[in-house]
Amino acid sequence: MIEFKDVSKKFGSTIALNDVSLVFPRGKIIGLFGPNGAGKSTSIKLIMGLNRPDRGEVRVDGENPQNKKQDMAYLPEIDHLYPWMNIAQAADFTRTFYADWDETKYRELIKFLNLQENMKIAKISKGQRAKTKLLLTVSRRAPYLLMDEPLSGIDILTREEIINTLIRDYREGEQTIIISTHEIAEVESLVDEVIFLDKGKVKLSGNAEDLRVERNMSLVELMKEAFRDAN
Amino acid sequence: MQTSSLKKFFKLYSKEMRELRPEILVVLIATLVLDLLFYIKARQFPAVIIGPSIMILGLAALLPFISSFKLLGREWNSNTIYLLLSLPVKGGNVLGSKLLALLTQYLFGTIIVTAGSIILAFLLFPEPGLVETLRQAQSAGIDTRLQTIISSGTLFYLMSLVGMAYVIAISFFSQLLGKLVTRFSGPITAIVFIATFWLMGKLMTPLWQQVGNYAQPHMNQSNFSIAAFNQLVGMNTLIMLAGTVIVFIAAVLVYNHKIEL
Repeated sequence: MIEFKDVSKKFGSTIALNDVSLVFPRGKIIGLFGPNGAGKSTSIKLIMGLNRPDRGEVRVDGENPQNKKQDMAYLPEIDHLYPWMNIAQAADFTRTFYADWDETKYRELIKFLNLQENMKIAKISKGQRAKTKLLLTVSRRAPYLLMDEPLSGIDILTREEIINTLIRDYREGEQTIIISTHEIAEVESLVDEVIFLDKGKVKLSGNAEDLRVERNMSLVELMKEAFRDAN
Repeated sequence: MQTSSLKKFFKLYSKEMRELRPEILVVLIATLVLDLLFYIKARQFPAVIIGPSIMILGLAALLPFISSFKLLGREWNSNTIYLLLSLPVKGGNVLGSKLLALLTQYLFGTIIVTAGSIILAFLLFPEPGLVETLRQAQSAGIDTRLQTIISSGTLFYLMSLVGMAYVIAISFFSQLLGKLVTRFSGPITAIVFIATFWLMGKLMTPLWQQVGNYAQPHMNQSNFSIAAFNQLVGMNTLIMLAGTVIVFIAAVLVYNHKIEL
């Protein structure tokens, strides 16, 4: 379980998170939604231990996130792989650091995603880079999978492949997936729990199905309503 | 399967070595080209080989220092810092692998240049010339035994290696402090570099002076002991090594506790 206790984070004069308390339940797919600048990426970086809270604390299974990196697979929005590596080299690099690397899954996924091991990161398309990042993240059997805008700037076919990969490999009850995105429609069917963030505050959170039934709206409509009120 | 810490360290190290490959190749090619050029063109004036040798040696010695800025700075410029910081390894491994790679670059570079110069010297100075030079040095009271040459040379080389590690550690420390601010990162890095260099110099100079005073009686013209000289070099190297360790630990602490994205 991931817990935020009164977490605040500022970058210069910009407030990214403002006194946020949250619980990300274990074994679920959690959608972290909100417009740009809502605090989604900061939340994921705090969980990953890439940022430190100014106030409050973040705990992953009761521990400091810095000590839980081996349990987390992280897919950032930006291209973070060494451009001179090819896919095989990037996989070999990742494999060395994580005991939960699943070679069989990697072999299956590389075919499923239509990638080739000799493809050089610097020379492949944006969509292929997105798929490579996904391949390296999902080839691990990590208890936590943190995805920051995995669909951003990706064409519709690649988006579908990414979502299908997630559905295909999700281990319900065992694995926690946190997806930060503003492309809610694409992941609507995927998420169990939702957290809507706005200007560093939690606007709305709960079980996705309960919210849909309770308000008789899709998550996209819910978000529109929530943020229309905010503006 | 759990991977050992050592294997993780060497994976990081081999990644750094791959990043440094172009610089190592530059030194290799520059050595080959210049040595060949001087072998062809300077046969009438063999003494001029000292020029290119010093020039390329300077390049080989300076490049790892310049690369230390590239190696760390590039992680931020190409966003690979996201990958590096998300790995389950501490700053000691990350910075240690970079330091080791840069020292390997120094080792490769200086060995390539030195080997090139020695070969060039043998080719340009005919055999009796070199032997004669050694004989002259011996008659001037200089200990030219192979054992002495090797031990003093090794100590000097070790001192230069530690010196390189020292400036690289300061470079890491200053760059990481520079990364803590979003604006004026470059000027802050430069200021911290100079300030750390100055402060460490202030800390180490009294120790160097003390060691020098101790060795002084054995190192005048009438009573020169090569053993005392070696001891002096060795002690100075140890002092510099201690300084390197202090700065390196400070850099690791900044990486582990202060660096964020």
